Order: sequence, then structure tokens, then C-alpha cells
Amino acid sequence: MAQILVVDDSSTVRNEVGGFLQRSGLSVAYAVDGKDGLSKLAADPSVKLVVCDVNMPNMDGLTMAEKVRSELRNSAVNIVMLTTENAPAMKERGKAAGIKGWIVKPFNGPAVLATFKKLAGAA
Amino acid sequence: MISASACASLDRMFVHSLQNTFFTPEGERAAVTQVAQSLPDAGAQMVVLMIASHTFRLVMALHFPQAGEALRLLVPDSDGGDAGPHAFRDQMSERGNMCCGMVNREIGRFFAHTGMSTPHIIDSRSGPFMTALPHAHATHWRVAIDARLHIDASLCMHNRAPMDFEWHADAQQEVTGELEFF
Repeated sequence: MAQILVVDDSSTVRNEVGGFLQRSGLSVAYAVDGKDGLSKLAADPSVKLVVCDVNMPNMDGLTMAEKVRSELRNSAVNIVMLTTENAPAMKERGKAAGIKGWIVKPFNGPAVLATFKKLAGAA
Repeated sequence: MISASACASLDRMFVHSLQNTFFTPEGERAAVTQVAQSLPDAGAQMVVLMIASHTFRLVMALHFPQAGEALRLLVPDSDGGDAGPHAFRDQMSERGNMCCGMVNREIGRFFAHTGMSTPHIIDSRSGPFMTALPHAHATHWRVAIDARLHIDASLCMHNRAPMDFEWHADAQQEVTGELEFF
């Protein structure tokens, strides 16, 4: 039962982001790409927040977000993209998929912790 | 055809991204100087990423030395002996991703519909083949982490339509790390 699912193909990012959130008192699960993320989210619907990369092998983060809504029928989970991408078209696609927000890397944990706790139902 | 202004702008973007990706052990931005050719050490690998649109393909490569001392210098929080080669390669891929991501965001101000690849790690001996293909602009750079360690980086542009733009780092105020709410 995790509060936050971190989805990134880079173990460096998973460790950096997940490690920070765990040290901040949040429970974290991990997925290595969008396909894995969908599977983990289907297995644990209690997840409140997904922090997700965009460019990943097998399934990208925006496709995953769309499938969370259309295939898993999960409209409750908050999704935040954490990516190097900043293209307006991608953000529009994310908005259409119902994502909550967008962060351009590098990850600044202290700057977003309070919001993440709120989105994860821990505040 | 690519203008001199566009070539210089691409170089400035790349150097800017390298300087914002690599830091000295003291936390200062690494010095980046142009070199005639990348000459990576034997056994080195390189992270290759590509930005592409309908009209161009931009390839970037970062040549990384083997783990060990390099890991301790590039990833100060980690223990070089324990992290292992996989962790080092992943760390280097993420550095490449960050570096290419910055260039992608800046070039996206001038060209719509760009797409960026995920990082690929290959043997650095493949480096010379980057410029064996038709290209309009190629430059090589050396990033000095400290007296013991440097990283070579290469940039190669192939365009299929005229390219002309002007970019300066000073004019950009990029915001990163902050959550943009929808």
C-alpha cells in the first residue's frame, strides 16, 4: 500500500525522487516505464499520486496517463509529470489526460514537498 | 544550408547545457572548451541522444570514462566502490538526458514539433561515425570536472531545410524544478 508511485526508466531518478519522498515520511512504490506503472497502479488502487517521466521505453508517460483514465478507469489518482520536456503540445496532451501538474527537471524536492503531501493525501 | 548564426547558437546552447549539467567537486560550473576532435580514453562509453523534427536531426554524445574515480567525482554522494557499473551508466544516461533536454527546450523556441530520444549507451569508438554521415555542423567540446577528470562531448547537426536563428543564454530565463499546476 503505497501513497506515491514513481515511474521513471532511470534508476538514478527513481532513487533521487523516491528516496527524498521516503525520507520525508511518504510511502513510495516504483515502476520502470509506463507499462509497468499501469500494472502497479492496477494492483494497488490505493496510490494517490503518480510522479511520472514522459520519455520512457515500452510506454511513455503521457500514454500511461491516458490509459490510467481510459483503461483503468481511475479518475481519482493525481498524476504529475517530471520530465526534461517543456513543449506546449505535450502539456496540452497531458492536460487532456487529466494530469495535475508538470515539473521540468531537475527535481527540487523541498520546493514541491508540501504539494506532493497534499496530493498524496498525507497533509 | 545552415547559417553561421544558427551554428553559433547551437554551440552556445550545447555549452550552456553542459555547464548546467556538470559541476566541479567544489560545486562550480565546469569549464567547457572547444576541441578539434573527441579523443575518449580506451574503454570509454558514450551516451547518445537525438533531437529530431521534420527538418533536422541533431545528435549529441557525451563520452564518459569508466567508473571508479569518475563516479566519486561526478556523483559525490555515492560510494564509487559500491554503486557498480550499472548505477554509473544510469547516472551518465540521466546526465545526458538533462543536457539534451535543455537543448531540446531551447531549440523548441524556434522549431515546432521536435522530439527527443531516450539515452542510448554505446562504445565511444562509434563516435567518429557521427560525422561520417552527411551533416551541416559538428563541434567537439571538453568539459573539465577537475584536474583528474574531463568529459568529451560532441554535437552534430543534419538539416534538410534552411536553418537560421539566433539564441543567447542571457536572454532566456528558464524555470526548472517548480510545479506548474493545471
